[in-house]
Amino acid sequence: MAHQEIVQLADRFRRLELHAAHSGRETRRALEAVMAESRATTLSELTEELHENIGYLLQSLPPYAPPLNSINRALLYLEDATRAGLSLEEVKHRQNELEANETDPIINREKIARYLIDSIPQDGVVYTHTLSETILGVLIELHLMGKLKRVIVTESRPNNDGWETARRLAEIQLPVCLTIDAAMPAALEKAHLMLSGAEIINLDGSVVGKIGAHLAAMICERYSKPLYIIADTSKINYIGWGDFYLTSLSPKDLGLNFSHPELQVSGSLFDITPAELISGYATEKGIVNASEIPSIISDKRVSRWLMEQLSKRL
Amino acid sequence: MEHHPAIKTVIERIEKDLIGGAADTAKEVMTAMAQVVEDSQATSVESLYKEMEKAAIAVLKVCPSFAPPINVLHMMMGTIEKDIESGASLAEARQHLADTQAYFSQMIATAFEKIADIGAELIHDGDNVFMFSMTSSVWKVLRRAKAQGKSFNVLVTEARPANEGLWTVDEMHKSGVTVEVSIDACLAELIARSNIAFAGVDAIAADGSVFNKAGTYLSALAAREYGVPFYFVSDTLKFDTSTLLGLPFRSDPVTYKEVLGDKKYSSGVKVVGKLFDTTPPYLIRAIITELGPVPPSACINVMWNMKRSKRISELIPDWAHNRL
Repeated sequence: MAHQEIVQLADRFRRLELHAAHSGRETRRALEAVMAESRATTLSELTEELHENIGYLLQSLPPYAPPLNSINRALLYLEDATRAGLSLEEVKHRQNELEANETDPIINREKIARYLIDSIPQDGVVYTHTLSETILGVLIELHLMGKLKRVIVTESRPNNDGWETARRLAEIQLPVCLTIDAAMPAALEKAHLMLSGAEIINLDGSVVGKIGAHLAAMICERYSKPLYIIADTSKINYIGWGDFYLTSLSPKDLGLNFSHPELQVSGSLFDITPAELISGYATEKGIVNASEIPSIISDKRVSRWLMEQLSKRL
Repeated sequence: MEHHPAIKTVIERIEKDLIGGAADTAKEVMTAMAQVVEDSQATSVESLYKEMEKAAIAVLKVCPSFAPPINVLHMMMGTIEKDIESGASLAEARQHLADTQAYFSQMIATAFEKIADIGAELIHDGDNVFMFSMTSSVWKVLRRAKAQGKSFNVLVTEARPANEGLWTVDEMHKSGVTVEVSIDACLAELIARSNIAFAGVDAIAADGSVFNKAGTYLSALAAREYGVPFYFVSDTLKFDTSTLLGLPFRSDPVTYKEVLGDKKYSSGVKVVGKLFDTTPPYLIRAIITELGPVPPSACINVMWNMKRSKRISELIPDWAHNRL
């Protein structure tokens, strides 16, 4: 039986209520709750309980790197503790070390904006697809620095996340233009560059993002417009196996009410943009290229148990 | 200025958007122009020309940005201009105009049958066939392939903002063709699984580029990325001779209501974009017409062989810039 916080978190993942940017922190908190409220009497029992809860969570995990990284860190913490012969009390007492590994998303956005400033022309017109908390934060910083003239955003079907981006940018008096996904080429023609968020940055530089991001990247290449991935390093997937579950669309996503129930709705909610279409990755550690991604991760260890669980999903 | 009742009717129907599509608009314009000729009391070819010119300008003023009705005006005005040049009699001129109308009717009646035959040959048993948005010409191709006993699967996206792709879903269902539907942002994923891709046409330019519903260019781009041949399907009435004059296609903007409906945002949010886009020739395998599959590089030859009116060609620049 999974812990109540894990059940609630899994439910939010299933409903795609949680954006990738917040999902790592939420996952870490839920795992901490499992450990803090555990009635286990040994470290081995606690590890087993955590495995059970993580197994439950993995069933509904969208293709987001941050929760996978949080899970990995929690497992490594217990594996290290077991090897070091720590007592159960010591493990529970020191579990706030997990939080210490997290970076502050607000500070990260300020850093990313500063790194990015030279890549954006004065009175720059930026195109972005969908909604990314990190991109919103960076755009606000760039706006405060007086760099931006306008942002163009596509609505990003099926849940029209782009509308929210438009609303929030308009609130801070940053001129914003909204258009349909099919008008991406026209939008990019008018923009100096594209900023795109990420659910996952793979070690080869490919990026899992909201469906449509790959198409926009193809147009960037065609129009010779730079495409920067805006993400902090929590989005880097050094574990692998994170991008095979791209979540399928359902008839409900299209708002369909056809008389023929056998109608098949196809497609995914996420897609993968290959590294060769990406100009750079703006992270809190600087702007890097695809080949530099592995080098900006300090701890690349992966829990053996997690690898085994993920390989079973393939 | 009083116009012939048939002209007044067609103008009103165009203005109120009561006509189904480009081909139907062309048919109604042809019928109205033929009616002007039939009812004319002109006693010379020149005076008949003047009556036809007045009618043609009135129609052109309200013509939307698709080529077929304009090509009809070219056909009729071009016919009488030739007769003026050659010194034909009024009776001969009337006969030539009647011949032009008959040729047009014959072309309309047979073009789509030929196109359906040619297009269906490109579809093979077991294929996944992507089509963007809706168009009766592609539906005819798909139905012909189905009638030939081929088993295939149609993949289509919704085609925002008006969701015409969902009409294709209904039409294919009625025709017994299996169909899968998705959102426009998924079109790369659908095209990657396809063996062939089709789209309809609003207008074809002299350089072989094609103007169609927004999202077509994106589909063609994805098709090239995944090595899927991309075909347009159209009769030659959609070849836009105004592009021979270097004029751009005219496109209407996407409106706030079409995207956001009744949702109210601050004035800082503007809805932008065009309802149509232009697919460049290098992304197009061929345009399937009643003449056969026409490669983009051959479009200009098709146009050079189309009947064109000097007077309509003179008026087109002003029409294109809304100065008529």
